[in-house]
Amino acid sequence: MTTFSQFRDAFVPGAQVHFSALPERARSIQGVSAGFTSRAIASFIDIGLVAVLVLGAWGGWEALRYVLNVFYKLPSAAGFPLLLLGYFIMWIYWTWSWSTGGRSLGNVLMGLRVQTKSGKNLGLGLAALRSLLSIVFALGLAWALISRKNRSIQDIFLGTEVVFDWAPLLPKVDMTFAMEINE
Amino acid sequence: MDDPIEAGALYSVVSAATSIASGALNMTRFTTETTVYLATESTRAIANAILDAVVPVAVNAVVSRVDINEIVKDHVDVNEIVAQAELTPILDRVPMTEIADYVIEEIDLPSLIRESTGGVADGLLSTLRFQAIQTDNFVSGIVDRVFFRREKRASEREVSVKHDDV
Repeated sequence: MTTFSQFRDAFVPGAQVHFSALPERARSIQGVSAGFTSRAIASFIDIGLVAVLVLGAWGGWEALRYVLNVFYKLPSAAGFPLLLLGYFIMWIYWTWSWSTGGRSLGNVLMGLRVQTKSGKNLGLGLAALRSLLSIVFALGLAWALISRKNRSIQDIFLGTEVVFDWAPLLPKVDMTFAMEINE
Repeated sequence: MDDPIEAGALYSVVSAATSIASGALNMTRFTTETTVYLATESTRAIANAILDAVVPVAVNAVVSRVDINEIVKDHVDVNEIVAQAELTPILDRVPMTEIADYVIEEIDLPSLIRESTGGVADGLLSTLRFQAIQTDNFVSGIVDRVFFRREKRASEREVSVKHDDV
């Protein structure tokens, strides 16, 4: 047990004490670049989200046509336009979520955040470009398996990275003091 | 006393005598008072000097032979004194936020919150994240061995899933 005086001695004057709600073992990886698996799962979650969205919209649209049109004929598989629509929505969605805090739904669930190498949020243009590259060349993510710094092809070209950031509400996680106390 | 001149002379003589007597009396009084004053003051100064020298030694001798704590305990009601103490200035000197931080840290409030709010969903999420990280460590470990890399990646930390994490 830490006594109050020990606690005070460890207190750096002027430093903001930040207590983390994170599990203790997760603290050391905060801000560290995330590996392939976490990112792939996050991407699949996003893709699933968009797929549900697109298929839902398509189903709804067809249902509406069926209700309104007596001579309704079941559509032949409209795969290609739907795929294009999916790509488009994916592009918009990733652009939006990466430029506004660096997290898509998949990122939030997996505790990831997309940022520039200097740790800043992506601007709209950069986010749009990264989003486009991620869609067009999704396999680029596989380079994170090989890259020492877990960087995908997109990351290397655009100078971005994906880091662990489990705190959903805080833009930056400063765990220094909490870690000192815990040691 | 028929002669006015004789009467006048007599008056003068008496008057002069009275003045001399009065003057002598005053001088005597002044001398006495001054002497008494000087004597008193010098006595007091000497006494003070002696006391200054003697009292600390004497008190020290006394104090070192008795246990003041015991005396205070026996004769003073500490609770009574504390009850009368003004608390606000004391509290003003107490570092409240530091104490609050300390208590939060000591009872591990964050983990209490984690355990009490949305525990299951949060735990599942943590498990999923940890497992993804473990998988990553495993895979990147293999890849790095294939490439004969010695250094571990930054993401490769000890984050094995334990029950108390989730």
